[in-house]
Amino acid sequence: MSTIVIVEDEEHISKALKILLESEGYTVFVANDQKSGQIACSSRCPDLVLLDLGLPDKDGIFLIQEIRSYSDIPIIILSARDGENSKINALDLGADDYLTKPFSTSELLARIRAHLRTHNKIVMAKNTSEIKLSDSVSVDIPGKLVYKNGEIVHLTKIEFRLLCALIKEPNKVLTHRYLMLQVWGANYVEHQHYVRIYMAHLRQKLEDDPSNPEFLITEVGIGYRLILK
Amino acid sequence: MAQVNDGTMLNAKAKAMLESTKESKRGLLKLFLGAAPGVGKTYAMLTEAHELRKAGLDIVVGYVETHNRADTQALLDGLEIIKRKEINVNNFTYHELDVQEIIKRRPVTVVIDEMPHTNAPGSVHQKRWQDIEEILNVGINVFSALNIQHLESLNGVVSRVTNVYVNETIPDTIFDKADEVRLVDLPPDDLISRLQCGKIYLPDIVKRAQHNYFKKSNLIALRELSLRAMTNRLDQQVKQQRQINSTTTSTDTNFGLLLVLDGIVSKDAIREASRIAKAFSSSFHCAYILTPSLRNKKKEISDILNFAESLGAQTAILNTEFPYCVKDYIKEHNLSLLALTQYKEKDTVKKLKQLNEILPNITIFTLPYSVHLPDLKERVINFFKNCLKSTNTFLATTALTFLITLLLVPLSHYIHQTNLVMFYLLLVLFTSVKFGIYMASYVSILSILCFDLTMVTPRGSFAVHDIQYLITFATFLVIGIFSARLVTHLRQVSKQTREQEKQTKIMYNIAKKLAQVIDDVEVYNTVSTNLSSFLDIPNEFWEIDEQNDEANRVQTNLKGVDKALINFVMSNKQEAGFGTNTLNKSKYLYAPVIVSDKVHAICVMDLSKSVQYTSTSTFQILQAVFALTRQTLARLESVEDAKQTLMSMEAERLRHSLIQALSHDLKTPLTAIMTNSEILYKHIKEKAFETSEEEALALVDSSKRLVQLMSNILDMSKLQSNEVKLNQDWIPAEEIIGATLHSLKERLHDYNIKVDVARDCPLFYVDPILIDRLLSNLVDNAIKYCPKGSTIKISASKRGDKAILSVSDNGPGFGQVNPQRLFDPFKRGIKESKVTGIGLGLAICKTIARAHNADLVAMPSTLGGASFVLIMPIVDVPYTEDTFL
Repeated sequence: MSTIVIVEDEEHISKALKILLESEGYTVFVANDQKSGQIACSSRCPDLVLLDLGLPDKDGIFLIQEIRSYSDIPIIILSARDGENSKINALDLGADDYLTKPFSTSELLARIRAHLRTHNKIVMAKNTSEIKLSDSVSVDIPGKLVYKNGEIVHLTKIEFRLLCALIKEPNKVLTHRYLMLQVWGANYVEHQHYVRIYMAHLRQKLEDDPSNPEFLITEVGIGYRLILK
Repeated sequence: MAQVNDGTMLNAKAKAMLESTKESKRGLLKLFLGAAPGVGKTYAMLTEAHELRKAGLDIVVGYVETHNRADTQALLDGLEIIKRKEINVNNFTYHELDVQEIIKRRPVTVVIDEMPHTNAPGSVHQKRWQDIEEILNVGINVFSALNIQHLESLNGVVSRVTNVYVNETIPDTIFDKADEVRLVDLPPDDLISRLQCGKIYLPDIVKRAQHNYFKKSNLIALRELSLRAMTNRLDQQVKQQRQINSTTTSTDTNFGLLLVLDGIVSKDAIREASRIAKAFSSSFHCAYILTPSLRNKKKEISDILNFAESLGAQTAILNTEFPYCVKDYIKEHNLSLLALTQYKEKDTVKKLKQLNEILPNITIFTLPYSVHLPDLKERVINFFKNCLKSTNTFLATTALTFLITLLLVPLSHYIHQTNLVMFYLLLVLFTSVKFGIYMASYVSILSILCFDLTMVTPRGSFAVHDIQYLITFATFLVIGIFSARLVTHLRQVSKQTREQEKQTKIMYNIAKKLAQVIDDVEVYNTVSTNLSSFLDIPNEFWEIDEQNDEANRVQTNLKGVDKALINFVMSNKQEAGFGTNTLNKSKYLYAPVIVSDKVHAICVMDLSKSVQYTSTSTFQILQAVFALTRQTLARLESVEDAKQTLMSMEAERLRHSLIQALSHDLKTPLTAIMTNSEILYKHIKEKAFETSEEEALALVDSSKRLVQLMSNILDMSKLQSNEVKLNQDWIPAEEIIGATLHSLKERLHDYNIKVDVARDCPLFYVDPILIDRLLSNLVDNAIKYCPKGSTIKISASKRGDKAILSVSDNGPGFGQVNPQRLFDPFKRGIKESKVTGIGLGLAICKTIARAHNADLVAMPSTLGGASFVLIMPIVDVPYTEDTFL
């Protein structure tokens, strides 16, 4: 079973999370500051890290950088309500996902499961040519073809590039900034409405109900996430 | 030396001194008073300084003159001495007290010797005591020393007793205001022996001094004076203390002294009056009655009044008729003593009688100082001077008299001589109206001569046949001069009236304009224009910026305004420049506008151009204008205060309703959490797990409600504190709606959700997080108030140049409630319903909408329930380029 490291200074929360995750069958290690988190992450070889950004000794951001220097394991940020900017910052530096306190435990468990699954899947099947996004939509990346209900969907170049960027890192929250960089390049970073407009196009073309999307999910004020079942 | 304080006392005192400087801004002044030079003031001062230093107080020496006395010199060791400032004037170097250096150094206490010293020409202040005032004003304590003869009010007495006139004096107010006075006393014999030992002056001066100033009789008199001054001071302190302590406020209004002046008197009279007032420990007023003869002596009058003010007097100039003006003044200020100066004996008796009649309860006495009146010789000279001054009028009137005589001569045979006289009388009247009393008197005498010479037999000679003519001449002269007097008086009265009318008009004008102003700058502009147009005083205002402690020009009418003086006025809260004691060589007068002890602005006036400076009426108008300005500023301030109060009252009301709403809405989920967790605990103890599910679910549910409540409260406080910065971008309607539906997914299960985005729906230029909050709140509201299974419709479209986003339902609607009132904080459709929330949701929505320059309205929905519509302006999207694969 997978190993999870929790870096969280609030004892009530870390204790509750430990009990919760252990009841789900995970092996859990708790660290309550940045320094011990660093040691735990390097020595316990976790499959996933739950990280609180507000740590007593040093900002959690440093831990993200540290982990990313040697591993691409999923990192889920646990943060306070108002820290939009620190969330974006953490995501840009390589964190995969975030949850805003107070969060529901079922949501947390669902995210953990999704990240562990996709992480393994990507590792296993990097070379699969066709990827299924939903029951009706599939993408052939090398062939630059997108099918919906068996029919070809006509996408523009930018739309396709955007879709590819999302498919490359499924389930991960991708910030507007990151997507702008990937699809348009550094000169366009300030024009974030581009991403929104093209996301709207993609939803129109691929989703059954564009205003209640199934896999192209909006993270308000942060960015987008492609959910892979 | 008489007194030496013991160490423990001193320590406590040092602490007290430190404390009090922390509290009050102004520093404390301690004076060392001596009867004569050489009693050991400097020595006492330095000894105390040393002891304070030992007690740990930061004390420095600003200026001490040791006169090469060895024991004093020795005392300077171990004390920090501020370097003196060198001023070069006419190749002579003066060493003066460096005020700025002391202020920069900011010690707790500074020792400055010889308070009455006169500074080198060109210094900021003429006198050292003014320097000391400035230092005190920044909050530094000062030790200083002076001799009894330096006190202004005693100056006359001292010079009479000792025959030595002392030039350097300090105003009594400084002495009275001093926080502490220590008398350094030395018996005359000891002093003389000290002098003989050469401890005071160098040997060659000793002998001279011994015969003049240091005569034993002198020293005894001086010692007595200083002891008496101290006693007076103590007496006053006791009285003050008693007043502070007594619960009934016994004012000393029964002992006010008014000195009435109507001529130019010697300063001794004022000193004497001040001393009497002090002896009764009463207030001292000094008033001038402005008689016609004093009208051209305004300079002298203002000098005398200034002098009286320096002795602590309240001064005034009375314009109305004697003795009623005195009565009014006395009544107004509630005084009981009246002093007059000796005018002419008869005159004084008359005045005393008049005053006694209308003021029966007032004690009246006369001071033996005679008024300086012009004697006959001086008057004649004055007369001719006046005539010469107006040579033209002199010639004109002479010519006119001759002309009339020439005209009348041929007529004298037909017209009776009595009527001829009438023509002359007419001329006299005309002259008095036109040229005043002196000319009229001259013309009447000349007329008589002409009449006598040409028309009275024997003609061609001044001799008179009929003795009756002499009666005619005498009557003519009397009538002429008398009517001239009357006319002149009338003229003066009418001139006064005109002047007063002008004053009234100016005041009326300014008052009318000031009544309408709404901010400070407008006040300054109004006053400035009126001063320059009506009073011919070029001026400009500098407004004080409280935050930076900086003065900024409001108008720019003058050149070469001295910034240093502006700063001086700002920090010392007193006027400076032209016509004042401080830097009076400056071109302009700098007057602070002080409201409730704060300098709001500084008015810089150019009075040098207008000769009007000495005109008391102008000065009075200026004072009135400034009083009006202050009043207006105070009014504006109080309006501002009232506004603030109203706002804080509103805030208070809001807070109150918030607490009420909160206490209800927090109590409900908290009660649920408490009871359920208790039951859960009981079940766990009894191991009855299968029955605990319901309670556990209730716990989860209540916690969620609390979380939502908290986030709403936080949102509202954040939005209202204006901290929020909009992070606007173009966002498709689907994304906004999608995100909201996604976040409310679980709660929407039981509802029928319809989304309708029009084909031509534009992008919304909004802050994504805030718009999500707005839409979530609206949908959440619909969920809360509609029964399960209801339809909730979210639609986005374009209407004209507006983008529309709306949430409608087919629930119960608004009922009797005015839908627009729902947006007020803490307003809910149904009071005390079981639906949670404190009525903040819609208020938050409204605030967000307003921040986006959008409108949020509530209206009945076409579906049958309620509908909330957001109407916002469309902002065009920059074009993007793309091609198909």
